Amino acid sequence: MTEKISSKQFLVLVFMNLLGTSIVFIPSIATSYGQENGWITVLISTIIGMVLILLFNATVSNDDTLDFFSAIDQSVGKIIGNVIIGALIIFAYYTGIANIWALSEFVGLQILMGTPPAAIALISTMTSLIAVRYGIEVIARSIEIFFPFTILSLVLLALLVWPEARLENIEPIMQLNKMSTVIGAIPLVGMTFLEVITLVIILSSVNNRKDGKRAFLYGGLLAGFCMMIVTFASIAVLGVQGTVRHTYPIYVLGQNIRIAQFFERIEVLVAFIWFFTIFFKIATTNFIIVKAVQHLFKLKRHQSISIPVSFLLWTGSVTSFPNVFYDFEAINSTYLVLGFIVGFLIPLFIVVSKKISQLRKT
Amino acid sequence: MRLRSRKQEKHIIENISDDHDVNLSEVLAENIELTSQMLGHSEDLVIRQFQLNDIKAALMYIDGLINQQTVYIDLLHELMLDSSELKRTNNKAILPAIKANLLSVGSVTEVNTIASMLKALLSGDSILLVEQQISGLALNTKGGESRGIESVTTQEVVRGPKEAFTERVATNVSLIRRRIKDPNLWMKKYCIGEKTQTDVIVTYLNGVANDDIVQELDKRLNDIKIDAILEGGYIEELVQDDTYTPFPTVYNSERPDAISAGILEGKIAIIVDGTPFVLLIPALFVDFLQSSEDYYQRSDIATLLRLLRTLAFFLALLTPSLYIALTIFHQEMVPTTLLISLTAQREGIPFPALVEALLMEVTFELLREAGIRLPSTVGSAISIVGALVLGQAAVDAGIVSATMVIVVSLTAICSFIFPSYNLAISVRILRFGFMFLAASFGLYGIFTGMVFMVLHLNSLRSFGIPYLTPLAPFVWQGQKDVFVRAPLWKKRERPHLISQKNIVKNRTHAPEPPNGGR
Repeated sequence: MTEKISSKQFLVLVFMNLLGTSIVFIPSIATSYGQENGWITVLISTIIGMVLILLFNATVSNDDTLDFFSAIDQSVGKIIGNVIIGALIIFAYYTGIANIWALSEFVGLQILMGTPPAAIALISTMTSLIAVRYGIEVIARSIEIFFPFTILSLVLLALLVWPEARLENIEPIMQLNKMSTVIGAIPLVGMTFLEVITLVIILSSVNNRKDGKRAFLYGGLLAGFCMMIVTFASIAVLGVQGTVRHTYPIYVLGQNIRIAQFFERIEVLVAFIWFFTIFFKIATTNFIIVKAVQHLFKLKRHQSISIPVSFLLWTGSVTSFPNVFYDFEAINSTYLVLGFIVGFLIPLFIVVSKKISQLRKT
Repeated sequence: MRLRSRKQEKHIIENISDDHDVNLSEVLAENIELTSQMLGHSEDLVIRQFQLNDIKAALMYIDGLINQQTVYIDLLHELMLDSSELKRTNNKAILPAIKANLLSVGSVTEVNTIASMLKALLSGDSILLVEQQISGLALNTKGGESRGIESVTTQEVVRGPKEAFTERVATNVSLIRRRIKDPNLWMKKYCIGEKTQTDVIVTYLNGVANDDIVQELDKRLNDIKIDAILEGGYIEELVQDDTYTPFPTVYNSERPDAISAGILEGKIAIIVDGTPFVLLIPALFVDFLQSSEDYYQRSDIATLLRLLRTLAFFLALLTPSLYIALTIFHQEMVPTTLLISLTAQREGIPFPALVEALLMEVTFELLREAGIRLPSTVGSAISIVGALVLGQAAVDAGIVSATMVIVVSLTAICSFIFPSYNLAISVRILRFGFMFLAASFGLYGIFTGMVFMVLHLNSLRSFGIPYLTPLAPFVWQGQKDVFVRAPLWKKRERPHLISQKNIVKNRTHAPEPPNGGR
């Protein structure tokens, strides 16, 4: 890997990848489990997420010269290594099509009424294809450009809905639903922190790997904090029932902004947070798949496989999910299982086999 | 010695080039004849033959390329009247003696071959040939008519120097030298273009400029194999990193102060003979949004102007597409009263919003292009026609809505705000792309277009420096001179990625009132 990104860029990349999709779905999922304690559910899932990221970090060696793929091949052997990389590709592919589908469905339903979601998915995938062909350096630098806007929109959203907030909506704190508050963290982790296992592939192109690992943690922490704030705001403004009932509660949150009787309905603010985060998530996922396929088939340039991969992503996103209910069902079952296997068991396996091979050496 | 036969001579003429050269002959007449033949007996070649103390000699020059004063008074006068000292010198030492005693011009070089002699002759030197000598003297008598230093025409300022570069490279070099009196201001001369032999001077501040970039530029300039360089644009296109992009990656200016400021930041200037526009590399995106006047006005004014320009960049790029997106897709986002008046205006319009916008934008672009090329006497006619087409008449005719006229005017005004013409052109190109995206995908299309644009901008490099530096990769020090122009005493360092050494440029303390402010 000749392309290098800085640890700061990796931090914002992690942030964007964690917030992509989840920022719109998390409030309603968390609240459906934790009720008025939904924001605590997010807090718990962030803590679990931190532990997971520590695990992910442990899979990547501190040796700067070794990239992730060759490190895997060294520690578990070529065949098992290829199986692991194949599993990562499948997981990333599933994440990719789910995100493209979610984006096109949202835009088709809320912003461009009447435009077929397939067309929206197509231009989104094509833009991500361009990003992939430019490479990870360009993706990382572009995220750096859009990161301030994302943060600004988030802060504005949190501040502007404040007048509408009714704190009695979040009371009583941690008195009821204690069990489901904790259990709800599991699907949340499934659709946020387990997904970022794929980022370990990019972690190996951070120029200083120690700093990169720290950036992974901080990025996760920042994203978890933002998700918590948004969930808190959703519950406080929309109430528990309002948050659960809406598919995109954060979007409704944006619609509630009202300043001086003129700036109404600036939900575009929310749309921008989501567009930026999800777009770069799609681009990063696409890039990861392409990189992994390049390694599997020993291609010289990753660009040569990018067009077919993007085409498959688009087709998958158009055909795989019939509707939103199916999507929620998948998040709670299939996706969770897949995420648990790839995002937890595989890194655990890698770490353990690494330890064993180290012990054997000594 | 016998004269060469005609056939032989023809053979020689065909073969003379840089790789295949012929030495000067001992016979004066032969040299003169060959030179005259090589130049096709051109009218402007002047051959003045005379006696230099009983030795035959000749002075050749191209009329119009030389400074007549120098040739007549300093050369011919001295050579023909004051040559008594040469009597004592023997045949061999005659050229050095002439060089030492007779010639009162600044630079004298010896030429031994026909090709090098012709090269000197054609760049304005006078050639002195003496019988029995196998070499001649090229005397620097460059001169001839050229434009004097005039005031700038493209990048005007309210406050700041008014003088501009000219077409002569020597003048341009002097304009920079006069501003930077530092021995580290180094110049390197290149001669590019097989036919035009254009002088190209690369100048930079040694010890501040990045050595890698200097070497890279040297390599790229040496790689150029082209017959003609007529303007800096040729060099720009041949050395830039990326051809297929609407964005300029080489900066150009006719302002000596802007170029000097760039050199002081560690950039490298390329002065090309024959054009008043001097190139500056590496060029970053933010450079094109900045004017040299920003540093002459107070920092708060400059900051305001820069923010205004940034706003203008987005308005010039996006206003028509936003109009299209809002009227076609997102009526619900427009406040109700505004929406009603918009719809009422568009009621009688036969075209969809995209066609309406395209119609007006294209008309405007045509008008602008016509206005540039027209002689100034006809210019007023165009502005009257333009005012009618892009004005009330178009609205009255029911072809476009009044809002559309405002939109086009706003775009037009905004695209004139940029200090650099290159960026205005890129914005003009991209605007149409955004209009189509907006017409097919509304605001989401505009968002996608913006992402694509940022990705593309990030993929660009100017001589290895990422184009969006210091925004991405983000450099905190650099933010003091991007959208905000911090007070001079706060800007202590040069841009990091451009000059990697000798960073500190300023050690001034913040100004304080006397007695600690009491």
